Amino acid sequence: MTEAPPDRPFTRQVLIDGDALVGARWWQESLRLSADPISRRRALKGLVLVLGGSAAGVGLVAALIRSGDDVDVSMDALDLQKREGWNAGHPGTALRFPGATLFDADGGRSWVDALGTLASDLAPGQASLSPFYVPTLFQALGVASSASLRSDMMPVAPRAGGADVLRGKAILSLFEAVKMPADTAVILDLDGPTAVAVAAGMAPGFEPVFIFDNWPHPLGVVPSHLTLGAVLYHRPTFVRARSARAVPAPPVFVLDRNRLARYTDEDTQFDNRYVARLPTAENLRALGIRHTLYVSPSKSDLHELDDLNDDFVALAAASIDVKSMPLTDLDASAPSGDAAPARSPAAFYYGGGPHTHLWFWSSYGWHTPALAGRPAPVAPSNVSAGPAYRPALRPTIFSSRTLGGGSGIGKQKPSGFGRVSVRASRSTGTITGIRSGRSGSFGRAGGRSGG
Amino acid sequence: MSKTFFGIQVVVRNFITDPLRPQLHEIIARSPGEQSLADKRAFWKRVAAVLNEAVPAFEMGYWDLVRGDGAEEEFESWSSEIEGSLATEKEELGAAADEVSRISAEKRYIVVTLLFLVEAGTNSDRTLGERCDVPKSEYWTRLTFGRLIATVPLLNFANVVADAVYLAPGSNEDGFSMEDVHGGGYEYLKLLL
Repeated sequence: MTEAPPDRPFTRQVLIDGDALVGARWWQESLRLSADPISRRRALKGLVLVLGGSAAGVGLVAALIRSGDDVDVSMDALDLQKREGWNAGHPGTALRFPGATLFDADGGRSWVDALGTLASDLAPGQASLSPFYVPTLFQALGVASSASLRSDMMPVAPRAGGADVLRGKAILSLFEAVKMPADTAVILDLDGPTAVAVAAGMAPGFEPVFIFDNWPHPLGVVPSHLTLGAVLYHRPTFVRARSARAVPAPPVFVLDRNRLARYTDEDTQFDNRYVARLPTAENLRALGIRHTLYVSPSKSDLHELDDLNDDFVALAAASIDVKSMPLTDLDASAPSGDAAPARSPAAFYYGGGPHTHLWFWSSYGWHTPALAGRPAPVAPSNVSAGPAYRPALRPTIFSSRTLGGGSGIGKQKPSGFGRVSVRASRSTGTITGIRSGRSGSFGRAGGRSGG
Repeated sequence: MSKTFFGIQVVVRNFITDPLRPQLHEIIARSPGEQSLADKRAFWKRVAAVLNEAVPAFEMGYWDLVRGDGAEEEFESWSSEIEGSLATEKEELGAAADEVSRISAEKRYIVVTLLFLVEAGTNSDRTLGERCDVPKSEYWTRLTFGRLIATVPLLNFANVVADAVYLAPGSNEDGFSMEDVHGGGYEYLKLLL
């Protein structure tokens, strides 16, 4: 007589519902304990071991690969580099470092020992800002396969006279005059080395949050190795400032404007572009941010780059004020009378002079400095209309590129952006070539084999 | 009693705002502790339907069908390794250095694993054998993975000895970076075409 199976034969043995894993495992006890295997019917088909990728199976498949086995696919450039190496497809091509130096800002060579720890060295000191730190670029130096990148890297010194650092110090002095308000964030959207240098000038009072989300490549359309070199140069300043800075400090989000650099030629360029992932309006409100100063290069660039348009409109909709200031609104004092111009100015000011400097707050209106006996600032004549800037929605290739209506983290790249053509084996899933030109020829991949 | 093991693991590109993870999480977490055959089929239909929506986002994966002596051992091995990783992962999630590492690269991948141990020679075993009998050139395609996952609700669960499903990371706020899935024990994963 056969015993009827229970109504609910599956009993859960394990249920996991944690941060690391969600899972469940069941056993059907009546089958597990079956003691009558003889009554079971044998398999009708031969019991062929189907090798779905065991080591032995893949070894065999790999040996049988023909050239017709390959297929051309498009792949995320960063994923490709993480898989095949930072210089994927071009292992013999050198990086070029105009402005390179052997020494960092302190005149030392400690940067050599810091190559592998840059991501942790430059992480925000304030835990509330950590989720918005994107050190992908710094991490390129830390992976085992990047030995050649580490040996190629050099610090990149700022431009002569250190104007960018001085402009950073000018921004810092503006905010020090209103006691470093924690409700105002600064976004530096400048070419990478400039953004890093300005951030270094601000670092004693602002918490730098770097948002560099790509890896360098010898043919990279984004010359992010120069940004990385600038970070190595200024690293001692950032590390020192982090330990000395008063907390809470307002954030300065540091972006590389070249992230959207013009990509024109697949023959000579590797598409390592990316989109900036700023905190959302909700994130900023949670951080207590009510005002945002967007720093662009010049008066002709007052509006935010295309990938930030949706975000900035969302900030405005959430009552977070966004105003713009070109870096050129901060200038050195003009020499008076017949005095010879200083070769290296000692300080930069909003409007070009100490007498116009604090007019910044009259224009931007977020806070009021205590003048404490100092003369009232004078309106400058040569600054931009940045205080009047308001973001407005405009169609871009990045418009509505988010899933589920969110923005910031999780932002999608538009199709074809930051992607590279690769040739892969259908059988093994390994990459066999990387597109190196319009001719359609594929260079061999970096030498890894799969399976 | 001879058995057959079938396991499939897929790395899915997922954004925080995607519904995939919360849907899977809810299906797994709310599954009853005891299931009838009808409950079991309904459970796997829901899992397969959610994953089917995400097939275009499958980035990497691995599957295996093992018949005979090693099948039960294979099931135990997969499930114990995945469940055993829990403690380590929990420690990592709380560590400051790892916070940096995880946040650093885009946290955009989740790993979903489905495991089955079926009685050899049954119609469930034959169904798996037929569906897994794909040309070698199609082992590592999204289409194959989609078809294999779609096979699960077709099984006769009366012949299924054990089954398991895992979703990692479990937190809706976390994810794996591509660096994570290229190392840390995931080296066997294949790029899906």
